[in-house]
Amino acid sequence: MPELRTAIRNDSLAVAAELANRLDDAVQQRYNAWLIRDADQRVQEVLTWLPDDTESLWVNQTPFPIKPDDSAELLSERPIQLFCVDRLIALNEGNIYRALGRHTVRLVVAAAGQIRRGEFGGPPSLAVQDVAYFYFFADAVELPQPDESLQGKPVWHASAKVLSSFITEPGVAPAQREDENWIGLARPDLLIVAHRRELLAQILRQIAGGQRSHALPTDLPEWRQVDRSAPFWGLRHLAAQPQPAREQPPYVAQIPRLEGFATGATVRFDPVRQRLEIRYLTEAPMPPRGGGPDLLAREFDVDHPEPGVWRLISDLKTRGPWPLHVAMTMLGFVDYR
Amino acid sequence: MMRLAILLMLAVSALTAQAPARADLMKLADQLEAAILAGDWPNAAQLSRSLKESVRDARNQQMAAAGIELTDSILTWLPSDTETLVVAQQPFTIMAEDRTAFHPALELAQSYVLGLLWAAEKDNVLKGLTGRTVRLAALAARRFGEDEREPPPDAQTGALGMIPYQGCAVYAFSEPVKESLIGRPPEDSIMGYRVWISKGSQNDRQDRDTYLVSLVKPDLMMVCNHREFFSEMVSRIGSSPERRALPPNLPEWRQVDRTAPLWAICHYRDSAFLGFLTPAAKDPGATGLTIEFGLASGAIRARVISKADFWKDIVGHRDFAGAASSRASGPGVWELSVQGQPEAAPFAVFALMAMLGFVVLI
Repeated sequence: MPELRTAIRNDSLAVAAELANRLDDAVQQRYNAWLIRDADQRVQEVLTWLPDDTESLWVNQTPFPIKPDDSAELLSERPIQLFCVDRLIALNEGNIYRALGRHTVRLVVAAAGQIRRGEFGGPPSLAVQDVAYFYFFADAVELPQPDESLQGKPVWHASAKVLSSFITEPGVAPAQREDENWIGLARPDLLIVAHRRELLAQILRQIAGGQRSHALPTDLPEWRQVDRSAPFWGLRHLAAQPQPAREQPPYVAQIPRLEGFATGATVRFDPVRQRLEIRYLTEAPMPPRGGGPDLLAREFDVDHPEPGVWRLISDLKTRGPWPLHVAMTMLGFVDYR
Repeated sequence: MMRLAILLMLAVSALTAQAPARADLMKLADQLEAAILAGDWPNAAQLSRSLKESVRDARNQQMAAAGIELTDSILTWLPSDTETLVVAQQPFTIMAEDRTAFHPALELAQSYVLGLLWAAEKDNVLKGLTGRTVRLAALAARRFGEDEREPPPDAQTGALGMIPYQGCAVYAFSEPVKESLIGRPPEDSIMGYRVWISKGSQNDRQDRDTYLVSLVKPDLMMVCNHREFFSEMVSRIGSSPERRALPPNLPEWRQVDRTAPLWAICHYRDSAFLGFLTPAAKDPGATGLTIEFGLASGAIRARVISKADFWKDIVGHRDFAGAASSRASGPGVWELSVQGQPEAAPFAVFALMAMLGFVVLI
């Protein structure tokens, strides 16, 4: 600040502009840190509100403003943000998203349960599993008249057209169906989007009734592998899934699939450095080189930091966003539509 | 006496215009410091953004007059057969490449102006200048698509990437640049200017071109891909050439707004050039083109001087994302406007730079 004042006083405006840029970077960083000062407590709260059978959870603690004019194409350059808001953008043809325009989302927590394997073992369809998104805003948000009330909280019913199947016939428009969602304003600055009305009701009951349970218990091995200070982090634990079947050759990990091959996975992503790290928890070896594994080798540096844990690191600056989609698929999240 | 009075009035008005600006900046800095000390980060974030933008605007205003003067000088240095001049006169900072970041049209256009700096010295000079402020950059070129050299023996088709051209760029930095940035003594001296020579390319034929880098002044770097172009330019520095490049009587000058953050002017050597670019469209017989990037709200404006409306066949291109429109802006002058929609930026810059001659084959 003193150097900036001196530069302004001396009319050295080129120097002043560089100093003001650097100062602004530092101030914005401090502001963002201030916005998520309570992130740990909020995530803990959310864990106590979620159903016990929650399998997956991710947290984006990089604040961002909602800009309704940004297209999906533009958002695809910021894939984490797109994962945060793609459902909101789709619902009711974007009316709710537009109503939230210019508000700053300081923290997003998303969770999924009953994650189903997709057709032919492919990625699951996000539209058919239990998901809930928790949007913590920097200030109170205003929305139009609610459709109903649950636990005394305003609730909106919203829907979007989604693909009903990933399998399409050449030359035939993919079949679509209407996907219903429920949106509740639990607090003036906390919006919850849930895939089922009963799920939203259950969460609102938990919020009203105090904290009784804890989804994804703290003794799960994935918690030891996750870095909760990362701007984006997530974990998935497949408690109900069968362990890898050693007698079924070839017994190798099949990234991005977890079911039958791994007990869980964790993800961390640094959007500034564009560095992605996946930890894949399995006793299985990585596939041998050649064929499918080449994809792995091309997109990730793979190592084995400790027994039962494979680490996959990717630099999205050079690889583009695809490895992040692999990571989100492992967490049970794919593009909404 | 009257003239002296006017000059004094102008000086006073310049001073009074400047003083409040500086006072405003100091006031913003005071408010920001108070917010930081109070730990009021929401307020500090807003004030800091305002201060950054205000200081940048003040800097740009301060540099604008010097920029116009430097551009006039550069015009006298250019070879008289220069066809295209692109001037990025809004100062900008050289940033490290980030493939994941979104770049508005102005930044994409600035990256074209940095093309020669990128190609020379295998990108090392550009990397060494990361974080430095360019107060003005100008790229001048001629003979697009011409290659006076023998094609390489293995060449089946044209190279992908930038087509051949002869050109020089002048980069004016806000602070002097040290020669040590290049890390070795110069290989040559041309007209008394120390010159670093390297092989490189702006297309996929590696090391096809020879690049010349010289610090013609401590804060002024010249980078060329053609020795003769460089020699012609430095021979004109400090002299008053009889024939100026892109002379002031060209009709294109009446169409271009030289106050735009980045502007370009092109006088076609061959009026069929645009016809070659878009073989499906009717040749408009264009003689000249002007472009401005970075207008209000990030808009772009281009004007072509031609017999027919060149734009009507391309405004509907899906990559313009519905942001483009055209109209006749005068007799024989056809104007394209592209609103500042981010989705339209890559195609708009790609297409308009190609029309200036900087065709990138993909």
